Amino acid sequence: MSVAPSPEAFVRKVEIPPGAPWDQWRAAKLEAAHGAPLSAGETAISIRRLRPWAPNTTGLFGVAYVRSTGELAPEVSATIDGVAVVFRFTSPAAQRVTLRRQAVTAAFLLFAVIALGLGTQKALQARTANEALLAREEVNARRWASLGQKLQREADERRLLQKAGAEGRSFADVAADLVWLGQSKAPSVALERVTWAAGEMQVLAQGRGAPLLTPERSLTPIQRVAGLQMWRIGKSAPPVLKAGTARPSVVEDRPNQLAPSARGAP
Amino acid sequence: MGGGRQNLITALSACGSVLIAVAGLLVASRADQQGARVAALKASAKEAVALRAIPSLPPPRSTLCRTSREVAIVEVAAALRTAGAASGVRVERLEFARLERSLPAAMSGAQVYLTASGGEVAFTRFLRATSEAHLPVFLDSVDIMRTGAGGLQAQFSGRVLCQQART
Repeated sequence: MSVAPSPEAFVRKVEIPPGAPWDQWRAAKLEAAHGAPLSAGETAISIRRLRPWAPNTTGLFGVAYVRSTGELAPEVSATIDGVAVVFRFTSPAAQRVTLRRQAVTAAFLLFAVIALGLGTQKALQARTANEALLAREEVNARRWASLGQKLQREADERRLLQKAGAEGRSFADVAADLVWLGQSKAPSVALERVTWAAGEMQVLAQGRGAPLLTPERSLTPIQRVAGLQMWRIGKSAPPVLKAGTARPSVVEDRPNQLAPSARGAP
Repeated sequence: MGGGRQNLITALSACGSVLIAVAGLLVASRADQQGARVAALKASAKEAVALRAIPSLPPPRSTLCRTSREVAIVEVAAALRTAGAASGVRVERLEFARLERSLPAAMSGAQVYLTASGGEVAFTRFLRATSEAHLPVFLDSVDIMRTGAGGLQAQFSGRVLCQQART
């Protein structure tokens, strides 16, 4: 545990009690300044840790002092405990250059960190907005898919009904034809019998003249039965349907109000 | 001093690089997920465009039932009797028989005969009730005649149809 004297600098060894590495560094600096052989303005100090930091271990530092009044040697070698240690000194001008360089580097780093932070925040905002948009569009797409399935089911069912010859033969169709007949009947005529078959009707009418007031459907006299006239009334014209009807871009979610089962499946 | 600081800076840089890489991977992963969702949405949009080509037809006034023929017969019988009782129409005859006409392979059905009597108002109510019930009954013929004293008698003949293969 010895320090070989150096011709260029005054070198000594400092032991710092165990502690955090930065605390040991600060203590070593204080101890080096306190133990300086000359006043602060006349001395340049360089400190080197002599062994790596370890917890609960005394920190070992080497301190070299040189006169700062003349030209500073950039490096001074010394032997401490048989190990050659190089101490580096920098002139005040070089220190200023280094400080300026460090300040510029720090400013650039700060700028990069701020830019990264802002960019990340912007990306997160965009992602959140995209998430909301996607979620909304997915709901809409699900509704479109549901509507499509419903329309497809209806189209399939309509084809089946056509194949079975069952279109336009519901109780509602009969009721609609009878309501129309009631509204179109001539007041001077009494209907004794109505026969409905797939939208076409035959009526047995008592009275003078045609039994209908409106010319919407064809009306044909057939025969006379026991003094009454039998008429044939043609089917109503089928509704005009256009393909590709515009639908809303946003599909509303409407609960199905019709229960399935033996009621016609909706 | 210089070596320790250098090591610290190197370690911090390594940690920072790892963090940035992990964050980048996370962002990329989320972007992949969003990309997949956008692709699915595009597919849906194509379907939606195709959907616009489907003719907009009025819904059928009665639709096929989705149950078995036997269940449908029981439920139709109950619905007709309920509608008759509620409207004041007397159901004189309600019979189901084997279907005499052939049906497409995906369908099953039964013949239904109904004879009922009542006043004009009662028949109006009866027809409204059966219309609103959307029964899977498809009528082949209806014969309505006066019976005297303002009464009517109606004979309905039709089919109960189900969208289910014959068993």
